[in-house]
Parts: sequence; structure tokens; C-alpha cells
Amino acid sequence: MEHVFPALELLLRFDTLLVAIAGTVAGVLMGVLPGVGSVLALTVVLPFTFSMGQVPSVVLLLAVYCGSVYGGSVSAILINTPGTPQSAATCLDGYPMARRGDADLALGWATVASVIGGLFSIVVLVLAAPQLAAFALQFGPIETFSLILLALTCIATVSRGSMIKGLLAGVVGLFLAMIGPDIMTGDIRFTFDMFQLSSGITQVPALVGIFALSEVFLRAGSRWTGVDEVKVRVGFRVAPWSEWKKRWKVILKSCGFGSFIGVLPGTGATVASFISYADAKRTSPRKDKFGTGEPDGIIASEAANNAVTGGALVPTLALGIPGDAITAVMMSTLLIQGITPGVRLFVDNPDIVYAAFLSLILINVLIFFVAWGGAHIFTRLLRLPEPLLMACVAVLALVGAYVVRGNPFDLIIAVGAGILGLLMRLGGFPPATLVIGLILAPQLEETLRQGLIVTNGSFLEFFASPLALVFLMTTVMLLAWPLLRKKYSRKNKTLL
Amino acid sequence: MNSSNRINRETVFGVLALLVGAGFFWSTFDPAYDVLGRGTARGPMFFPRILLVVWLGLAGILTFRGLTGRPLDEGTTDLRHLQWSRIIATIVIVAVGAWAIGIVGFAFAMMLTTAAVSITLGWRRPLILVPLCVGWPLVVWYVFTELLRFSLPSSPWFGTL
Repeated sequence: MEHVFPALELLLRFDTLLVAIAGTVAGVLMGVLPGVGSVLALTVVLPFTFSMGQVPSVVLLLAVYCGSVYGGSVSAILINTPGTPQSAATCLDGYPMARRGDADLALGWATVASVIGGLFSIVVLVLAAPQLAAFALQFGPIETFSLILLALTCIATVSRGSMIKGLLAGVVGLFLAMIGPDIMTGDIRFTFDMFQLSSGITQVPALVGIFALSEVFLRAGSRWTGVDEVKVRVGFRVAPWSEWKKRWKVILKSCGFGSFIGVLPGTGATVASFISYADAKRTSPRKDKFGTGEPDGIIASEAANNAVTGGALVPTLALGIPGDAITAVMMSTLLIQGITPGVRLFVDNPDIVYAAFLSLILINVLIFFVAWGGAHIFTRLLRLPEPLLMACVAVLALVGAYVVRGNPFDLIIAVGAGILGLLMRLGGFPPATLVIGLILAPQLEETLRQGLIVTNGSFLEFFASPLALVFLMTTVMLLAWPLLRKKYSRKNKTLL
Repeated sequence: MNSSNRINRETVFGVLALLVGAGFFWSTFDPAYDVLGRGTARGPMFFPRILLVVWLGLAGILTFRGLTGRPLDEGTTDLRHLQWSRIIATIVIVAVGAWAIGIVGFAFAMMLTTAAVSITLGWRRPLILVPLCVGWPLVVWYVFTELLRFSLPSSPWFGTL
């Protein structure tokens, strides 16, 4: 407690509060825009920190980071285009809910779940930062490989419909990520003499193509009668307490998944949200409604991806090890400001550390008000007649695909991904699983090959690690579960 | 939707996946890859081959289920009610719009794309169409270039616009 009051004093200055508000608004807006994402959002505001003091610059970065993670859910819900990859899982139930006219309610679920996830992760960060950081150090390549394999196997449960189609889509996603340079040797693969492919398929253009453009193409094929069937409610609506009360287990588990996965280096919010969504889909009492606009799906994704924000800071602040690109950008800013993250940070700069923790609470509260205020504007977008809305979505998708690298070839990737996404929808293949594969593939390959180097090429030795053993056994059980369930239900029928 | 339609669709997608997967698998044995990754414990084709074996296995199951008339799921879109001409037209418009960005600049290419997509999808009222087609691309262009400082391709006529 001795550091809390000095930290509060640092935080409650006019300039710091102003920076927190401006950073949250900017973060949410940049998160809403497809293609910008958390890393680009942080990079955009980075120059502003050069003229700021230590605490305001830390607060600005945290506000933009948390705001952008939340903002991604707004476009995921309203136009089926995740503003950031972290919100891809939110499309699965948020968009169907918006399509049936409850966009205001969907935003309410997403916002409150995000705020709860964010606040939960702060508690984890404050109470367990050093211990969790030490635990995360036990994750070598073998453990990380096993965890990612488990995340990928969750594809089977994320998939609506056939597990085989879900797995095939996931494998196609993994394979698409193989195009371009080999992550360990730099050798170029599967480019078929196309120079433009030599740097690989960029995730964001593929993502906006698969989700947004394929939606535009599919809707073009259905007859528009001149009147939109669903009247979208404008604004922001929080579900009654009774609805929240019966979902407390989903909320708690999602927050746990997010905070735990956030601590692990290199995994991040996308993995957390998909694992959490898959778990909720498997265990929720309302699992049959998943994919049709079930609030549990939105909660699982949003609480988890926002809970990552605090968790991801644990290895960065406590060990000086940034877990992903986002925390790497944040760490570089801290270094520029003369703050050296690592084991000495809590001893050398306790006031700044606690000011950062407290600012996270403030930022999460601000997110609620920014969302509440902005929802009226955001949801009006859905009141546009369908042809106009789809035309606007196409423009946003193309700009999102382009701005990531400023490379015109990414536009071709986006259109190609849009056609692929359309074919997948027509064939009953879940596009989300392809996206998960595409995102996780580089790390899966890298950790597998590193693990094989560690074990002298023996995959069996992967099972010697207790953590890896737990993850791998869970993976096997997840794969075998549909077969076992079928066999069990047949046996029950025979007995009856 | 009748079962024969479903079986055909499953089989078509299964066979397509088999052919594409087999093509990729065959390409992993290209002699060009033999010299790559020399000196490392596992070469650059190690992981892709594992993936492609799984790919072929899953595609095989899909094809088999399609051929034996046991559909894998119930939720696929009914293809008979889709207006294919509009789908193809929209794909062409978006692709041409993306290509035109490099020639007439982002704002003008997107104005044309917005108009063409809206009209193709059934919107014909010029009083709303014209302001939207001009205004929306300009707003997006302004936000990304002036506020966020991203560089979007400009036209040959109006400076950065």
C-alpha cells in the first residue's frame, strides 16, 4: 500500500488524465478501423510520447493498447470485420446477434465483458506478477508447441457443423502460412516463382478478405427486396443482471484463460479468445445456440482477449521479456523513457509500476463510457440499406488490407481471400478456423522444430515434460471426444 | 435441398481439396527444395509435409463421406437461390477497384467501387447514392492519410488525394 498513494498522485494529474481519455478514445477508434490493429495503433501514437513525462507516456500506451483491443469487437459485431485479429472470435456470435437486430445489446455484452476481463487481469497483474512471470519461464518450445497444438485442436469445437471440415479448414490455414520465408532458415517456400509471395501472406489482408469481403460477395448473391428485413436498434444496451448472473462461470473462466495465456510469451489475445470461445462452446449450458448470436460466445471472446492486456504485461514488466509485438513496442517506449523493465523494475520504479496498474483500472472504466457514447454513432452504420452498407464495408476492407504494409499485392491477397472465404461458406467450411491456423502456424512450426532440436529429433520426449503431457493428452481427448460420444450414445440406445 | 445435391457438393469440395493438396505435396519434392535448409536438423519442407499429409487424409474422409452419401453437416447455404451473376459481378467490381487504386488513387477508385457495388446490389436512388459514393471514400481517405498518417495511393490529378 505504501506505493499506492504516491502512484495515485502521479495518475490524478490533469495532463495524465487528459492523456488517458484521449488515448482511450484514439485506441477504440483505431481498433474499430479494420487493418489498423494494436501494434499499428501503438506505433502511430509512439511519437507523441517523446514529449511526455514517464507516467503520461506509459498511460497513453496502455490506453491505446486496451482501447484498440476493445475497439476491434465493435466492427466485428457490426460488419463482421474484426478490427483487430484479437476480435475474430467475436464475429462468430456478435455478428449474428447484430443481424437479428440486437446490435445495441451485442455491443453491451461485448463492452461489459471487455471491462470485466480488463479489470480481472489487473487484479492478476497486481497480485501475481512475479510468481506468474516465474511460471511462464517454464514454458520452453515444447510446452509452447503443446499449448498451441491444443489451441488449434479447439478448432474442432469452434467449428459449427462438421469437425472434419473444421480441421481441414484449420490445416489449410496452417499451410497458407507456410508460403514465404521459412521461419528458421529464411528459405523461400511455395511461391511458385511469384516474387510478391516471397514475404508470405500477410494476416490482416487475409483476415479482412475471409471475413468481410466474403460477406459482401455472399450478400450480393441473395436478393435484396428493397426493405431490410431487420430493424437495427441504435445505441447501447446492457443486459439485465439476471442474464449476467447465469453466465458468471463463462465470465470467470474466460478471464482466467485470458490472464493465464496473456502471461505466456508469444501467445496473445487471439489464441486466448479462441481457446476461451471453444471452451465455452463445449461447456456452456447454451452451447447449442453458439454461432446464432449467443451472448456466451461474445463474453467468452471479449472477456478473454481483454484479460490478456494485464497478463501480457507480466513478463514484460516483471522479467523484461516482451511476449509479442505489442508489448515489444511498449517496452521500447519504456526504455526510451528511461524505464528498464525487468526484475529490478518493482524495486527501482515502484511508483511508476503502481501508477501503470491504477491507470489500467481507469482506462477500463473509460472504455465503458467511450463505448456507451460511441455506440449511438457506430450502430447507426447498420441502419444503412444493405447495398450501401456492403459497399462501405468493401471500401473499409480494401483500405484495411492496404495500410498494413502499403503493398498493392495485399489487395490481391484480400480479394483472393474473399473468394476463398465465399467458397468456404458455400461448402460449409468454417472460415474462422482457417484464420486461427493462419495466425498460429508460424509459432507452431517454430516451436516444433526448436523442440525437436532440444530432444535430438525425438518427438516422444515431448511427453517427458509434465506441462506438455497435460496439453497433449487434452488435445488427444478433444480429438477423440466426438467418436467416444457417438459410441457412448449408441451404447445407451442399445441398453434402452 | 435434396441429398444428391449435398452429396455432389461434398464430393466436389473433397475432390478439389484432394487435388490441390496432392499438387502441393508433389511440389514439396521439387529438387529446388533439396538444397534449402542444409545444415539444420529439420528442413523447410518438414512441417509442410506433415500438414499436407493431414490435409490429404481429411480431404479423403470428406470425399468418402460425399461419395457414400453420408453428409457431414446440415448447415450449408442453398446454392439454388443464389444469384451467381451478381456474385461474379461484385467480385469483378471489387477486384477492378483494388487494381484501380494504383492508377487513379485510392479515393477515386473507391468512389467508383462504392457506386458500382451499391448499384449491383440493388440500390438505384441517386440522391443518396451520389453523396455516399463521394463522401464515404473521402472520409476514409481523410482519416487514414491526414489523421493516422498512413500513405494511400494518390491520383495523378490532385496532389495527395
